[in-house]
Amino acid sequence: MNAIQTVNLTKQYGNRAVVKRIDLTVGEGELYGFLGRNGAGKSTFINMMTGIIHPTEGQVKLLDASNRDDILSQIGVLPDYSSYYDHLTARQHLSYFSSIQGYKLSKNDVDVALEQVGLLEHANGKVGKFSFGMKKKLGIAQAIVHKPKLVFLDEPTSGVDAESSIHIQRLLQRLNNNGMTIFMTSHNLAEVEKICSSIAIMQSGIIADEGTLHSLQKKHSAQMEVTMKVSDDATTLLNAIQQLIGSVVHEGQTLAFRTDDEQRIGDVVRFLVRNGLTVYRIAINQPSLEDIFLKTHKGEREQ
Amino acid sequence: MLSISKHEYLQLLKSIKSILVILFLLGVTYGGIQLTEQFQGLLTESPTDVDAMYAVGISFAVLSFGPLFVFSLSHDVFNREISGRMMRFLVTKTKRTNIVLGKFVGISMFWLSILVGAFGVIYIFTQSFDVKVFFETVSVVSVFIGMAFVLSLLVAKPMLSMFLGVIIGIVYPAISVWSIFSDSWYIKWFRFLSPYYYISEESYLFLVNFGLAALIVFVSTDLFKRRDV
Repeated sequence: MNAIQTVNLTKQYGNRAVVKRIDLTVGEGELYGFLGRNGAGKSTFINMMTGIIHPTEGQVKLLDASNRDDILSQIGVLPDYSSYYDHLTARQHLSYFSSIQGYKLSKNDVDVALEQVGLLEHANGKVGKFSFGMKKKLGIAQAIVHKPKLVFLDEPTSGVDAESSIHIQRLLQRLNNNGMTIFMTSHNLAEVEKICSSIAIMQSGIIADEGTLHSLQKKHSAQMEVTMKVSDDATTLLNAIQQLIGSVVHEGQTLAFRTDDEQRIGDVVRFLVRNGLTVYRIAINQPSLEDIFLKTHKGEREQ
Repeated sequence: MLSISKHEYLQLLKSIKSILVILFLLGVTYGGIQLTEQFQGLLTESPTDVDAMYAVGISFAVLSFGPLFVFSLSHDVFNREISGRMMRFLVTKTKRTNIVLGKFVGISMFWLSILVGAFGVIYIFTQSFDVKVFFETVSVVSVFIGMAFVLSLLVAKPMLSMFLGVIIGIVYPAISVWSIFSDSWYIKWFRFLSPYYYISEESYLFLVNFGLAALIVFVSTDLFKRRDV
């Protein structure tokens, strides 16, 4: 079963298309990261899937159901820039939203959700007095408190302190391991790289790149970063090495360069050995998500 | 749906504006009773007619100020939560129809409570309860609540809907009364759009108002379903 399927999903404001004919499939049990710069269309896309805004064109199927109203109880959503009822406490908020969804939660259910996001000690605090980060945590709690099958989180860790951010990342991984499908947007590339099983990069209303981190790295392997530690200072050989592979960063016994061709690495090793140096260590860094992200957007700028 | 109704009802009960409206209506009711009792000797009507006058008096107060009160309390029933973005949570949790109906029931219950309170005060003093006048008043208020819904969905900014609500609350009853008593072709037709017309007839025509309210709520639901929040 697919958790999410969009066909030709489009949103237009006047003549300006914010989301352009997106076909996306997210399998059940995935922790899906959705990336993009500000204004790329991420929130518009997620808001169309969650029913906050209406698509101009196209269809959305969630948990194989065409009508979202039929499966509202199986979905949890943390919308972007949401506000809360300031006069309610955190506990009252969770109870109220769950009752709207048709759930009567026990005090224990509510407390478990608040504890999961680190808000239990503020359970009786008025939301109006909460910081931005605390409100964000409350938003996550209301999205997961009824144990939905599918959760949409729009920037769940933005505005949250580093410790809480790690706490939330672990929580999402734990929920995902227990079978919850999670679709999240984020600007934190390291976070997405760390916890997401699949990633999409959105750019100007389209999905510019999509796949598992491994498949994206393979696709973008043109940017391999190679670091070598050799037996002696290679300053005298630097010019020759640069002729072989272009720009090289050299510091003592360490050489670092980028190449798009694996054979070049062999050429450099052979050259160094021929010149009496021993290569102690070679580290080949695959492109990080940050590299892939920047490369994707560099392509956009060059177009 | 009932959770939304309960939330809306309690929110209205707690607001300062509502408390002022309640005090005003109860004050008018009680003041009217006191005044009538003071001048009872001068009145030529029978005691039964005097009792009926109390109910008509409170009904008149609600009908005159009702639109103003309803619009001032409920002009932002949707746009407040849409502009404040609380609505984003609600629409992901329940059907939009449930949100509209929930709010309508909650606000209607609030007004029903006020009217029961006002008519209850009259009952305490006169031991009579004019059921027809009571339901006529309820029917008119239900139409105004529906109109406040449409206003709140058509106007995005709460400040603007407040301003327009006050204008409509003053102008609408005046135009309604004018259309009912006028024979001029350019205003006469308006009476059919006014809940006052349906209570001005000596019959159960006031029931049309409930149909009118249902129609307006249906239109509100359709408007809300089309809205991005």
